[in-house]
Amino acid sequence: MQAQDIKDKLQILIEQASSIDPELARRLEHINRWVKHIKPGSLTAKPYVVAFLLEVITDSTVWLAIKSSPSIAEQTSKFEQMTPNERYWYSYLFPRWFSTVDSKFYIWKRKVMAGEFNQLDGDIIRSIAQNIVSRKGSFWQRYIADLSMATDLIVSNHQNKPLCIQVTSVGEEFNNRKYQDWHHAMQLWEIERGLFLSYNPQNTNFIHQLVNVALYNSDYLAKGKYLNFS
Amino acid sequence: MRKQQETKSNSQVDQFAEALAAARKMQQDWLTYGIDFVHIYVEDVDGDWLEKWGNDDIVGNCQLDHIKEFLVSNDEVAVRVRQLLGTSSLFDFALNLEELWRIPEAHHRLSAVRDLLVNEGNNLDMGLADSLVVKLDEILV
Repeated sequence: MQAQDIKDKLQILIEQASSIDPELARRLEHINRWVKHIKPGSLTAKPYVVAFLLEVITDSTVWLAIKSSPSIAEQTSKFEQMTPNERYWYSYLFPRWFSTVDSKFYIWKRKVMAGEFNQLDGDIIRSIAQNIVSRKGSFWQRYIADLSMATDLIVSNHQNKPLCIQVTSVGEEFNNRKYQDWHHAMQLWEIERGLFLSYNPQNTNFIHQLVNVALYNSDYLAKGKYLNFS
Repeated sequence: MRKQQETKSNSQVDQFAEALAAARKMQQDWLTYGIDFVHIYVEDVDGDWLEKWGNDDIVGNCQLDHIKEFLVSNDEVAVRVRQLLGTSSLFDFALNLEELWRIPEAHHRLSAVRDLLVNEGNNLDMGLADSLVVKLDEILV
């Protein structure tokens, strides 16, 4: 598809959502206007804007398919077809995001333009996700979760209990500030369990070790706990 | 009648299954290709689509014009807002305000304006958000 088709898709979803879920329609309209005002500072920003829009379109389509079910029982049956991470995302975090005034949404534009989706971080997150899959765990990655909810990945393992994780390098400046922001985001979105993971890039085996900690805690971290592991 | 209902229900199941499968495939593509996965879905990612997204309803947007006029005025609240913003873009701030003004519930609007101001400056006098909301209420009827 051509990039301009994204706008048409968004418009169609706005129309559908206006009768099925007006709060989603409002958020999609907001995104439509928001994109209009993005002035890409660098060429690298565009793929991330596209990735974000594709994600929003995909997730809204899933949501509208669920919400248009004729009965609660059918909605429930659709949620049951999902993996635990997907269910946590679609039944709780995603609808909560679009129906809440997201104060961070107003600084998204700045972040996207500044290229704060860092390719290096992205590669590390992806390596972690690949390692999780190779060890039969599962993950869910969402740009919305990254930007608004301080969550790089939602991870689950044997116990099928989703855990929100944020990963950061130990040498990073303002690390303590980042931790505080993360903790605040966990509370603000009432995320069930969270893990803040710091890694040392000098350690050659850090991906494997991070995944050990993430998978273990996804099985055993208690409800309501936000753990800082560094 | 029952058959019709079943057909409708089946097609909803199909839509759902299709949508969920699409979400999973996209995630798998991200896992394989990283951010480059977007090129599988969109041919002209680096084209000028973002620049052409459409300025149609910025031009002639009365609310935005009113907000901009207010922000550059000599009104005491506008002056304080400009001081708070410092070198940040007044136009971006106006766009954000216009966006926030679409929130129907007054208390949500106020708290969103507060958040917006907090993001702009460290020494925020909370009264400023209230004053700004009162002013905008007067202007944007």
